[in-house]
Amino acid sequence: MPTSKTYKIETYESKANSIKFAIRILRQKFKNKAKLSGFILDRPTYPVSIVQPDVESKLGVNYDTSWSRKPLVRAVRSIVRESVARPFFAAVAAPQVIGLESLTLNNPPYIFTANHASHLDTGLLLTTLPYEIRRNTVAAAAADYFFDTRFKAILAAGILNAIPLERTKVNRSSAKLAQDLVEMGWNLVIFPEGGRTPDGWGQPFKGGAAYLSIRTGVPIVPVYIHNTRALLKKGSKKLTTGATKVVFGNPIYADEKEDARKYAVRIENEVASLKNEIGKDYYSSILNKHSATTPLLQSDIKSKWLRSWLSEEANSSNKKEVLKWPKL
Amino acid sequence: MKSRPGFVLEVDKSTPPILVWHGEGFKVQKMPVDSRIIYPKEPISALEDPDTAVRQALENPLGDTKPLSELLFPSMKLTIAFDDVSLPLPPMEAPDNRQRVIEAVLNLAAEKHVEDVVLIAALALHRRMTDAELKHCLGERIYNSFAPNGLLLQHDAEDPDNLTYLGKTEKGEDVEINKRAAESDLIVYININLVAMDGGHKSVATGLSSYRSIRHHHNVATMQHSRSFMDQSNSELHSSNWRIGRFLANEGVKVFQIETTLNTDTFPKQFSFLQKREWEWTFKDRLSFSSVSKALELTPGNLKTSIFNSIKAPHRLTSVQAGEVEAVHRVTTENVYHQQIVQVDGQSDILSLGLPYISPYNVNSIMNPILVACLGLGYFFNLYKGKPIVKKGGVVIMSHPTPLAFHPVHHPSYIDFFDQVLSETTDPMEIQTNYEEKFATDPWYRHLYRTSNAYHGVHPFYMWYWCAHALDYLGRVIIVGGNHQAVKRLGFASATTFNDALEIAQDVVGSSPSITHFHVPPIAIAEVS
Repeated sequence: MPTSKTYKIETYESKANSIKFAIRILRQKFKNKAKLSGFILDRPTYPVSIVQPDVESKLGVNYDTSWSRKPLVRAVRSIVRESVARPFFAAVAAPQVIGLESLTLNNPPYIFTANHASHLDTGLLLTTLPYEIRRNTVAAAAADYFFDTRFKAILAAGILNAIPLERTKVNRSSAKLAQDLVEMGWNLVIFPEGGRTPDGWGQPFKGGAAYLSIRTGVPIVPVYIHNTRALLKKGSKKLTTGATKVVFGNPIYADEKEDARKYAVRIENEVASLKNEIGKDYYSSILNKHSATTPLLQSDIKSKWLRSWLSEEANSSNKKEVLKWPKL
Repeated sequence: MKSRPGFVLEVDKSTPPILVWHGEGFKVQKMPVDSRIIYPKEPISALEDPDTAVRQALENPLGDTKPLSELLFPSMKLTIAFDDVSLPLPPMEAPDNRQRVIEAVLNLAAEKHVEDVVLIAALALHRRMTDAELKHCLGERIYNSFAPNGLLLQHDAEDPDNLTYLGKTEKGEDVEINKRAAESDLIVYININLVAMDGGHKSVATGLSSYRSIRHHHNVATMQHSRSFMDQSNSELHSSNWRIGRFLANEGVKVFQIETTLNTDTFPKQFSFLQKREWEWTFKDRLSFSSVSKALELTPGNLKTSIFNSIKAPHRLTSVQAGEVEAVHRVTTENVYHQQIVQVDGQSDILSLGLPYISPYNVNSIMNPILVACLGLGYFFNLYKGKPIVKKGGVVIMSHPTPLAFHPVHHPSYIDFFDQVLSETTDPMEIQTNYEEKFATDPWYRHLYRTSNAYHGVHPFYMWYWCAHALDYLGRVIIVGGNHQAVKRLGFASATTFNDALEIAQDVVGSSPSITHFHVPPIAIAEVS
C-alpha cells in the first residue's frame, strides 16, 4: 500500500506528465500550423524531374531592388541600422575592429571582399563600417538564396540594402547592376567564396569582385571576419553570443595586365594574410606574406575529421573578452 | 492553348506536398520519396463552334446509316432517349450537351413535321430525376415543350405495362426494354461519354432496360471478368451489352446514336488550384486552397454538402459523333482515350487514392459508405487499361471521411443493405446468392423507385458487385480518415493518417513497398504496361 506521501508524489508526477503531454500536443499543433503557413508563404519547389518553364521570374537575379535605394527607404533603413542592428551586433558578436584607418587612404567607393562563414557576416561588416561608408553600401547577396521568395527578397533588399548576385553562373544583368551601382558611388560588400564555409576552411575566391574592380577602377578592400561561424554556422538555427574580430586590409588595385583570375587569387591571399594577423602581430604577418609562408584560407586535407580537427573553429575560443580591473 | 500530356512523376525530396481529395474537403500530403504520382493530361481544347459540329455530325453519320434528316418522316414514332443525372460529374454548366444535341435533333424533326416525339430519361435502375435536374440538363425550352404534355418520361424498369420482352440472346440473356422505345420507328440516343465505359450498346441495352435484363450483366461473375470497364475488349460487362444491343438491332429496334465527349475541365475558377500541378501553385492558389480548406472545416456538414452539390463543371464539348452505334462508339472511345490515357510503366504494391465528394450515384445527394467503396474499388481501381495499377495481392489506400450517413429518399435500400447484409457478410458472391432477389423484388423498394426518387432496391448490390474484381484481387483495403464503424462494416482497415495506412499495409506488402498515387482531379485512365 502506498503511503499518503507516495500517493501525493505520484499524483504530482502524473499531473506533470499530463502537462508535458499537453505541451507536446500544443507544440505539435503549432508546428503543423507553422508548416501550413510555410506552405502558403513559400513557393512550392519543383520536383527534380520536372523542367521548369522559361517564364522570366520576377525573383532571384531579376528582382528589382531599385525601391530599396529610394530616399525614404534609406532613411528608414538608417534608423533601423543605427538603433537596432548596431546594438544587436554589438551585443551578440562584440566585434573588435582592426585596420579601419586604412579606409582613409583613398576616397570611396570601395569593394569590400571578405571571407564568409556565417549569416552574421553581412550585418556585422555593414555595422562596423564608418557611418559615411555604411550608409552608402550595398551588399551582394546570393540570388538563389536571399531572393528566391518575395518575402525574403523584401527583407534582404529592405534591411541589408542587398542586390541579387548570381553565384552559380555568369549573369550579365546581376554583374551589370553591381557595376552600375559602384560607378554611381555605392560601396559594395561581396563574399567572393560564393557561400558560407561548410567546415570552417575557406573556399576558392571567385573572380566576380576582381572583375568589378578591374572594370570600374574601384579598389578592393580585403576583410577578414573572425569567429562568426562559432556564433551561427551554416545549417544551424541556434545563435550564440561570443567575441568576433573584423580586420580591414589596405585597398588594393589590379596590376597592369593582371586578369580577374590572378587578381582574385591575390585578393584571397590578402584575406589570408589578415587572418594570419590575428593571434600574431602585424609585422609577423607581413613577413609571412613576403616570404609566401602565410597559411592559406583553404585546406587540401581530404579527411573530413582532420579538416574539422585542424580548422580554426576547433582551436578558437568563443568567449567574449571580459575586461577586468587589474588586481591591486 | 495546347494541353500538356499526363505523366508519372517520380517523387523526390523537392516534390511539394500534393493535393489529395478527402470527400467534401481536401488536404495536402507529402508523398514518400521514390513513390509515383500519376498526373492526368490537362484539359484538351474544346470545339470552337459546338452547335455547327453537332449539325454536321447529324448530317454526316458514321457507319452504315443515313443522315438523321433522311431517317425522319412525318408519321413516324420518334423516341429521344438521353443519359440521366449520373452524367457528367459534376453536372456541367448550362448548356448541357444533352440540351445542345436534343435541340438540334428537334429542329430536324420539326423540319420533317414529326409529330409523335417522346423524350425518355434512360434511368435503368437509377433514381428518377427531379424537375430541376431535368430542366438543367434539357434546358427550359425543351422541358416546357414536353414535360407539361406528358411527353417527357423517365424510364420505369418496373412498369410491366410499359416494357416489351423481345427474347433471349445466344447466351440466354433476357432482352426487355422500354415499350415506347421498342415500338418506335427510331430511337435517337444522346450520350455523354465522361469515361470510356459509357455509351455504345450499353446506352439502350442498360439505360432503357429492366431488372430482368440488367441482372444478366450486373452480377458478380461479369464484374470479376471485366478488366477493366474502361477497356471494352476486355470487359465482360460490355460483351453482354453488345450481345443485347445486336439482338435488339436484329429484332428491328433502330437506334441512331449520338455520343459526345467532354474535356476534363472539371472545376470552376474558384477551385482552379484543384487541377493544377502543385509545384505550379501561385500564391493565390495556395491562399485559395488554405482559405477554402479552412472554411470547409468550419462549415456544418449539410451546408458543406449543399455547397459541393451546387458546383457546376465548366466541361466543354470536345467531339460529337453520330450514326450507327458501334461505328460511333469506336471513334468516341478513341476521343475519350485521347483526353484521358496516361502511360504508366509497371504496377506497384500500393495504390493511393483521394476520393472526392461525388460519384455517379450521389449527384445532389449524400455519399454513403457503400458508394465510397464503389467509387474507390469499382471506379478508381478500374481506371486502367492492360493491368491494374496495383499488383495482385497489393493494397489500396483511399482517403475519404466515409460518413455513416445515407440519403433516406435516394438510397433507402442502401440503409438496409448496410445494416442487414454487410453485417452478415461482405463476400459479393454470397451476397448475390442469398440476398439479391429479396431486395430486388421487395414491393416497398419497388414502390419508392417508381413513384419517389429512390434507387432501385437492387442498386446497392450492384455497387458492391462493382467492387468484386478489386475485392478478389487486393490483399487489403485501407481507408484513411474514415468513420471507423462504417469502414469496419465494409470490411476494410481504418487508418488515421496516410503514414499509419502505410504501416498497416506493410503487413501485406512488406517494409519497402512501391507506391503509386492517382492524382485527381481531373480524371485519367492509366495504360499500364
